[in-house]
Amino acid sequence: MATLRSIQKRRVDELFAEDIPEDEVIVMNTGRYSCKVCHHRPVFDTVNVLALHRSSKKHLQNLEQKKAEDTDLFNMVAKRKHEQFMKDGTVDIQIAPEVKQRVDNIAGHVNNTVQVQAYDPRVKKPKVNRHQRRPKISVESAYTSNQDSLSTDVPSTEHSKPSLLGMKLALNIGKHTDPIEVNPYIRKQSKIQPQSNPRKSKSFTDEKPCLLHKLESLKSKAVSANVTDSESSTSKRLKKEPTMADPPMIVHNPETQRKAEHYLKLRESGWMKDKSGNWIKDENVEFDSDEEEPPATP
Amino acid sequence: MFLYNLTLQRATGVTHAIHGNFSGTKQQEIVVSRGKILELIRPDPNTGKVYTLLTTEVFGVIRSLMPFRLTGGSKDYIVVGSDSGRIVILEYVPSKNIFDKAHQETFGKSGCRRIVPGQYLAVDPKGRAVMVASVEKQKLVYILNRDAQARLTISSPLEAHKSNTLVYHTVGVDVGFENPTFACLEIDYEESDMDPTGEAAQKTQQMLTYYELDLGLNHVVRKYSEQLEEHANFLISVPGGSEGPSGVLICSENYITYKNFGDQPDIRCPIPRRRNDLDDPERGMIFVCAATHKTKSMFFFLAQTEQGDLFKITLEQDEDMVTEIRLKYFDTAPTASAMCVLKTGFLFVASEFGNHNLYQIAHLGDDDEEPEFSSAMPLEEGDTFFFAPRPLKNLVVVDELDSLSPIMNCQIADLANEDTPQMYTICGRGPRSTLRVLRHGLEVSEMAVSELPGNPNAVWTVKKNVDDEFDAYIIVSFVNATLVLSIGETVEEVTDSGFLGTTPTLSCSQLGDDALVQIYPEGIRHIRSDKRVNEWKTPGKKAIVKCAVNSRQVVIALTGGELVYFEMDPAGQLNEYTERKEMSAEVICMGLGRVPQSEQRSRFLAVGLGDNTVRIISLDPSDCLSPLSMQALPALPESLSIVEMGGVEASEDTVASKAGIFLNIGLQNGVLLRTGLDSVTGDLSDTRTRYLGSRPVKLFTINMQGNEAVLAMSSRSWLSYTYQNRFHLTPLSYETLEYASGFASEQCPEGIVAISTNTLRILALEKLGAVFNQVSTPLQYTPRKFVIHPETNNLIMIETDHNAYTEETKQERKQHMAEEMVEAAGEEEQELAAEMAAAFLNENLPENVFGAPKAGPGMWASLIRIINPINGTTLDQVELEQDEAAHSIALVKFAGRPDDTFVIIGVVKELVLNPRSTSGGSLYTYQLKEEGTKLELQHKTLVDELPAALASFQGRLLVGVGKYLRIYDLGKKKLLRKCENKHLPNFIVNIHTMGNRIVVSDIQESFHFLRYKRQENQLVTFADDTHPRWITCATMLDYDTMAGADKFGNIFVVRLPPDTSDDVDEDPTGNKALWDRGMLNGASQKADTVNSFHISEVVTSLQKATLIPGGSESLVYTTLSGGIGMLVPFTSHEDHDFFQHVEMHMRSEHSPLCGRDHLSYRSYFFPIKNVIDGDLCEMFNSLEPSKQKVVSDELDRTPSEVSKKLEDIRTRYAF
Repeated sequence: MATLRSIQKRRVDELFAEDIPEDEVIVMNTGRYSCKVCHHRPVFDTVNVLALHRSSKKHLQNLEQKKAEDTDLFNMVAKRKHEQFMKDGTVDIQIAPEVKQRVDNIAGHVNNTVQVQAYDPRVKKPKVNRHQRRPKISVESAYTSNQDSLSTDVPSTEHSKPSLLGMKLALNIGKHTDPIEVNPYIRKQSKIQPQSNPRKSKSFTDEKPCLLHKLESLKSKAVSANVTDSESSTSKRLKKEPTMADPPMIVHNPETQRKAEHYLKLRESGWMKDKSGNWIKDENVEFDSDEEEPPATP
Repeated sequence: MFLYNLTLQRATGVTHAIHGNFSGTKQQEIVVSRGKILELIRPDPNTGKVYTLLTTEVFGVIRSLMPFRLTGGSKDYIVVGSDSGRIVILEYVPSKNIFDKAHQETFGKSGCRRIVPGQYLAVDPKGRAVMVASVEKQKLVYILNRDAQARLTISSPLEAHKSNTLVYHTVGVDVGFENPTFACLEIDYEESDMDPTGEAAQKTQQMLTYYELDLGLNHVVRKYSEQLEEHANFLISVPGGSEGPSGVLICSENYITYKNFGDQPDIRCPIPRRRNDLDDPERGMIFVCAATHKTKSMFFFLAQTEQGDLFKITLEQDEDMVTEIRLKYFDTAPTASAMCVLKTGFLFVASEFGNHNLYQIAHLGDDDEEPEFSSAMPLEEGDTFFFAPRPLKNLVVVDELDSLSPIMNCQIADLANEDTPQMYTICGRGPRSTLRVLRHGLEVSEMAVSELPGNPNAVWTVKKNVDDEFDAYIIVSFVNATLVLSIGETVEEVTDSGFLGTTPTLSCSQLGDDALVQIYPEGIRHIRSDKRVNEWKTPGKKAIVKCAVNSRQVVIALTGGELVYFEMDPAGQLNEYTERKEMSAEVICMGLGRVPQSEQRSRFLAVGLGDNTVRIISLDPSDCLSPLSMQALPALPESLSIVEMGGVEASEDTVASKAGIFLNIGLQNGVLLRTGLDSVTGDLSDTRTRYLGSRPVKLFTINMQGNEAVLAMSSRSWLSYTYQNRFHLTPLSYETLEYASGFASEQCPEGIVAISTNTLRILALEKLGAVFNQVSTPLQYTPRKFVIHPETNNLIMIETDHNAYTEETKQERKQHMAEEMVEAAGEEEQELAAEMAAAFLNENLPENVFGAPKAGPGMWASLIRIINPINGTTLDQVELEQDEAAHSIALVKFAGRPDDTFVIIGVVKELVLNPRSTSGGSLYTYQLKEEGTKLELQHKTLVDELPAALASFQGRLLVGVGKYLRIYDLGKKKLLRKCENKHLPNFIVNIHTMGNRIVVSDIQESFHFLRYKRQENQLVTFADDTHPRWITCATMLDYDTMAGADKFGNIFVVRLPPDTSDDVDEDPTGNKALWDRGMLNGASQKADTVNSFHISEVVTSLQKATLIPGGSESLVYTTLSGGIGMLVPFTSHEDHDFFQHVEMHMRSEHSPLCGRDHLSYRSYFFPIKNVIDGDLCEMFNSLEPSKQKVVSDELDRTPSEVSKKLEDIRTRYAF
């Protein structure tokens, strides 16, 4: 009885999702939907609510605005193409991918509707372990544009739009083919064994720092390397969801690991980097009287 | 998480001790209060040993204790003032061995309050009235009498309140049979309160007030009050009526005064001081406790000063007036919290800290050369007498009661490489401190060890005559011979005992009145007292394989599984029973119980067969050798023993209670089974199982404390016995033994003779009922903390004493004083003075007896010691300067130098305790050299406050300096501060780390959870607690959970909610602070309380440990009063449900003895949460059988099932 109802519900959801253009919606990796049309990017839990929002006055106004913008863009592209044609007879111009997408939309060359994959029990969802359930992103994709990740992961032609759920699945699959993951919290996963030397139960704290050190190193390295993502910086405040806050996966490059470790070591010894990237001493930290330069990179 | 609280060892420190005839017999007993435990102790006048008769938890705080005897009565009652707001009068019932509540009168609210009485108790010496007083204002007097049935009756309370008055001490004055009078030391603070300048407070004097209970008018009047010159601390009542002059002795600072009504002038005598004392001479001397000894003809007082010196005080009378007080130095004993002088001449001294002693008063100090000081001797004002302390002369130590109080710290580890972990506790105060290694097991004293020719396989002892007190022979059986040794002055071999020495022996015993029997493979030898021998030979080729013997019956098993039964007839002849029994399988072992008193035979024979069964066969003449019952076993039986345990023997004042017969089965897989055997039907029921060791279990019946006990030997030997109505199965702290038998001789009335490889050992077990046996090593100052060096298993500990001199300073002072002595002497006496000075310098009074000299506030003595805990040798000792106090210690391996181990000590200079002020703190860095046996100072790092907490963290050091948390790294000339957090509220007491997470315990504000962020080099608080907790010790249970204890006696477990994120940023702008301040301490995430429980003793250490090999982990705590307990998690909901119901029923059926409500007692400070009180549940075993039945019916079980469950949960985690 319950399965019947769930199948029904799913079918209704599919119907709702059928005519939602995919480029107007962002599917977040928590499974929620955000309306790309509205500039304040409202977030909704289900497709139904999203659909409700799309019939609201505000959204329709924003849609109008967007259409107007798109039309402007289209005109601009056409003008540019014409100029190029005037120059050398070709219409090859460099168009930014976002612009391309929007222009294509207007041009109507695309099958615009979102396709929700029908439920097929033969399609087995990849099994996720409990400690891996939190969706994680890879280093490169986190700091490159979203569009790229979408387009690189899924094999699709330039003009076809992958379905909403298809994207989700792709993201999942993508995660599992990536190299070693590291859990941010090293929980003691095995049962407590009765020990002959009970005092030694403290010894495992010594193991933890190494792994966590690696974690820190990579996170900091990634942070220092490419902090262009404005989104992530604002979300650095009290991170309730460990999703975006998780340090990115370990890169299996010992060189970068060493560098990261060295950076952290200097940092915790009291050396700071000033604006020009030189190492200077933190005033609040004490140093040995003969310590003038930070120790060199190994 | 649901926890169950178990007590492993009760508190050992004594707060009150009283003596009296509590059982109503001539013998005097002592009742002792240990905070929340009431104990009845009896010293045996013959042996001088002290036996505990009864120990009860009262689930309340005992604030005062007094004995009370009605006029003309022979039995003493116990009056208890507690925190329940009720006065309780208890009666000891010897037959049931319980305290019975005779009366309980409510007069106020519960809790230790200023104005609710309970703090002081005073009893009229003639047994008519009792006064219970509070610290301030209230005093109530109850008149006690007896009714027609000679039962005690109590009247309504009569008030004697006086507001604005604080009471220091109350005592009942002996006025003969006039109106009962009570004397109180009071002070009136009304004027001081009104005066804002504080002058009145300085000038207010204490008063001695007399309250008289007018029996005719039935009210209490404040009869007389006078002001006292010196500040007094307590009163001693002087015997009156026809036995003495009456009146009170007032003990005040530096003086003792006698006062009485009427024309009696005040007699004043200064308290003598020690000659050449290193103490500050300006320091006043007070008496701390006193005991009175009264006989028909004379009386005297023994009073003890705070240094431990005992003085015998007598009063000289002239007609009715007292003319002088005489003081004589008696002896020196450890400073006591209570003393009792018994009529049998014993002095029980309950020490403040450390072991308690029972002394025999050998001499009364009447005719020796000790100078006697008198109040009549002329002295200038401010001057006093001097005496020289000396070792014990009038007192003889007869028994010593071990006391762990106070346990300063404890760690559980297996450093001695035995299978079970040991507990290393540092306890004591000052020079009487010790390091004690506690091991679970009975203490065994080895009386004799002798080598034997060859390896024996069995040993027995026999008496010649059944009425003999001591054994006559020890028979040792070898593979092919038997050796007979006689016990007398010496143990030597005899050949004319009648035993056959050329064959191995299967068993031997005393038969009938005066005959002996020896069973060997070829037959049975019956040796009569006149040396006539009757032999029975086995038929044909059969041999005797197994046998069971008692004093009247012999059962043998021949090869082929045939049982032959012999019984002794009244004539002393051993007759074979006509029938023989064929057993279905091979007979492996047999067991016969002892013949009960005044009976002819033992009814049951237990046979263990090769088909994994035990059968009970009747030996009744009506159905001889017929099977009664059977029990299947999980493995092959190895030995059997039928014993009668749990009964109380009839004596002059007790009624014999029926004991239970138990069949003990030892299996070959090392398991002991104990099954109840019904004495009528022979049915077996209620089996309890215990795993003892790896070897097959052999059982031997011996005598312990007059009752039967079973010695079970496996890879470890265990003793199963009853003690205080409880069954105990305790291992022996001794090496593996092979065979044993009971042994009684003059030197050793209840001993054991045992064999081990080729040695014969005679052992004695003395301290039955003690769970742990102790090996102690004395220390110099009060030990505070210690760390275990894992590679060498050595302990590195810090000892610190306040108000003390270091050795160096002591020597300097002595030198100084010697010089002064010589200078002060005149011209002629120079030589004499020089001699005296030299003698003075050489004399060395051992400090653990005579106490250490008190230096003054702000003066500290401290040292660091490396000690090998197993053999107790000190490997290295570093003494710190005068006034430097070590308060914390940590063992660190710095990341920069991973091969060296460093010991960091947090030291503070000139610490004044309250309000806390220092002249600076520092961190002393020592390197551990020479394989962990030597400390080498590297450098000293100055810090601004007291570094009270140290912890090793990720290759660096975390220090809590006052309220700042800092990370230090090792530098070349000092430790370098790398990171600091200034936002902790008061004072850091403890630091625990796990990974990047740091949990800091504040002195007042509970736990703070911090995280170290490496990339920003910051310590950020991300969570804390919502309750104020005054934390004394803590431990991390897991990444999110902390267990802690506070100074008010509570234990709690605090856990972070699962969605807590420790990835919090420090907000430099402070904007977040405006809108996300959160509650209370400021961190935005709060921890929840998971468990909360009130122990009522200050807990000084908490540790997660496994106490038995193969058991699960539990939380073990030790307290300041010397108690050791554990909190054990429930593994299933059914268990928790069951115990919750048991606790609920016990709360209603067995209300606490002093009138306190159990639930509100355990919820004294915080409501009890998710913890079940095991101490209350285990009192189920001491309920009356009818009540037990009622409670177990409610739980749908039988009483034995409930007892079994209670025992199971204890043996699963502990002992």
